[in-house]
Amino acid sequence: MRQLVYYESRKHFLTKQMFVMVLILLIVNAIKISSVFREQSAFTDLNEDCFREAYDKLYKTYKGELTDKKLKDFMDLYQPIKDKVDAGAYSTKAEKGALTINSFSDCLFLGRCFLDDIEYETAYEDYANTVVRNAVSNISFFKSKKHSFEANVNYKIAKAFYQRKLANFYNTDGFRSLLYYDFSTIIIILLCLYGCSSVFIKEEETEMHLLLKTSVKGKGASFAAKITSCMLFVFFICILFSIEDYTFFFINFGNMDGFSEPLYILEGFKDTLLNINLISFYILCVISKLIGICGFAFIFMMVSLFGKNTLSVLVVNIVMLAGIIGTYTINVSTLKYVNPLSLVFGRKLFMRQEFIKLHNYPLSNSLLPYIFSGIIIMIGIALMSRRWKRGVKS
Amino acid sequence: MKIKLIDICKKYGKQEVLKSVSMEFSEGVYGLLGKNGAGKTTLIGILLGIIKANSGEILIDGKPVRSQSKEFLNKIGYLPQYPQFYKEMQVYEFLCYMAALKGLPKKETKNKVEWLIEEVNLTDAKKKKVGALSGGMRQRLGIAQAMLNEPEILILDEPTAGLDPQERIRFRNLISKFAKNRTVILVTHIVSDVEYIANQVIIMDEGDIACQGNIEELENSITGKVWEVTRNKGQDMDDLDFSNVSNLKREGDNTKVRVVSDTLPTKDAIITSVGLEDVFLYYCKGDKE
Repeated sequence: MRQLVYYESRKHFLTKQMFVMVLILLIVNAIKISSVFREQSAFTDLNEDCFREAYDKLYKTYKGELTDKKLKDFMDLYQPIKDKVDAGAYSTKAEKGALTINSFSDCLFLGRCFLDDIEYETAYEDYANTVVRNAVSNISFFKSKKHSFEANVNYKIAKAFYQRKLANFYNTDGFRSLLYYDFSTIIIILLCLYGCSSVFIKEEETEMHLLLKTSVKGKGASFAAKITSCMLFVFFICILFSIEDYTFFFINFGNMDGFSEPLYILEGFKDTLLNINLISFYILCVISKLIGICGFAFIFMMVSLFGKNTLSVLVVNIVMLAGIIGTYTINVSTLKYVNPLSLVFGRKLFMRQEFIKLHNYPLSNSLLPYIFSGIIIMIGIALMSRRWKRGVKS
Repeated sequence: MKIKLIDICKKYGKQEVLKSVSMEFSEGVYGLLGKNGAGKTTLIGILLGIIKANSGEILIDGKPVRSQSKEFLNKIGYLPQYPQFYKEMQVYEFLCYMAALKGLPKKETKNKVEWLIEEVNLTDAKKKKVGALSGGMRQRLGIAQAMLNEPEILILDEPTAGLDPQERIRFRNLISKFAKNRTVILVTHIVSDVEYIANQVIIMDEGDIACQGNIEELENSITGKVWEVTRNKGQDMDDLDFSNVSNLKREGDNTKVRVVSDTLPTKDAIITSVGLEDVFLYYCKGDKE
């Protein structure tokens, strides 16, 4: 079996064309990450070395646990500058003793790079407590009205938000950009489209299907080897590009601090029900992406099995991909749940969760795309296996 | 080993491709001859289990064969018509892949592949990509892959189609070499291939067996039915039925016409010796183009 998996990989994925294509796309992805850094970095429009120097110096002081002393020190630094700027008593030229260039740029710099995050983090505990309080009161209300589903939903919310607190300050720009970065995912889908479209059609085109059908391991084992090699390819490129993303975001942003901080340290995930840290969430996103791309791979392979030639299979797969993207952009939640793209862009599933009713038990909607992708994969295996094993033109 | 096909029928829609065909194969080289569309490839497809028959049975040594069973597949080696194989694979690599498909143990594979590459004279092309091989080399590679599992039944579908005369001779010799102690079924419409290497000939026409036997028997069966007509320059040939003409040769001012016919085709016709092509023409008269 291992041998067959190797040869299937050799036929479809371990080719010179694929190697060159992956290499080029890795370079393109690295360039794209640099451009994302330039667009999203806090220093984008503060294009002076002095901002970076000032940031590094202050960040060393304030990173880590947000103690009262640190907060006081920061406000002691920030407030006079802010007051000065509010009073309009600042110069447009360089000022002596300024952190960056002058009071105005200092105010802008401190606000953007420190104050916004510090404010969000210190206010989060209150926000979480409010959510818990509201949820608890909702539980009593819905129980009194005998709406057990709603009561269960609120119980889940209260449980998730209970004792939430952001105790540490870290620069999470790198992680934020990494989690919101989708370009490499598009590359993976395209590579998958290119690789998986020929998996079954190649035999028909080369008359090899006749030899496979008349060989002991040409049916079941060969089919399993094809699926396995395809999954290995998907796994490999997903991991490869995920590692590249992480590495290049790390290199560009200079750090990936805060990896052990809870996910809700990012403002976009303020309402998430997940109580996991950033690095775990990134791994979860990679796993979701992997499952979603596997769903795509099965769709591409199914078309390949029923197609007439590689070109027609490629065209049909491109049209299908466009259709899948189209349905994803339509704002109909039911369509989104059955769409493997929901998993591919997995972060969106966990930003704000909703629940569906399953015998009064609230099932998180973020689980639905996993279930549907699983169903796509199972149906794909069953249909393809049947077609492949039958293999008789009668 | 005895292979028996009993009353095999196959229809594609309303078109009857095989009409209750029965035949038997044992050790030796069988030439399965027939025009294009005679049903040869369909019959072989049914024997291999890649096409389902509408009715009929296949027995191997008296036992009904469960087509596609591991036991059956282990006994056969098959070279399909016009195989392309995987163009980007190297010759050695391709044979190793085929060995894996045929379930050969890894230990045996290397020696077997090396030996077969030598046998089919592809040693120099061992590292070449399959896509870079000539037609003849590709067919030799095809027979090598068919021989990997040392099959008891070797089925070759149009193996010499498109080959130049030199390659055709080389390929015929290769088949003869591998035919020892095996049942070889050579499906073709090229009569000369069969003439040189087959012990038994089966001629198919319009989905049925037109005749069967060894070459001598078949030739004897139409003795007295092959005629030669000589025409001088200027003499017309309007009296000849060209659908029965097996050969037409110019010799100086004369034209010698070979006619296969039950009756005297023209007054000046004389009986001549029979060849397998004449037999083929005699039994496959369906095409009157």
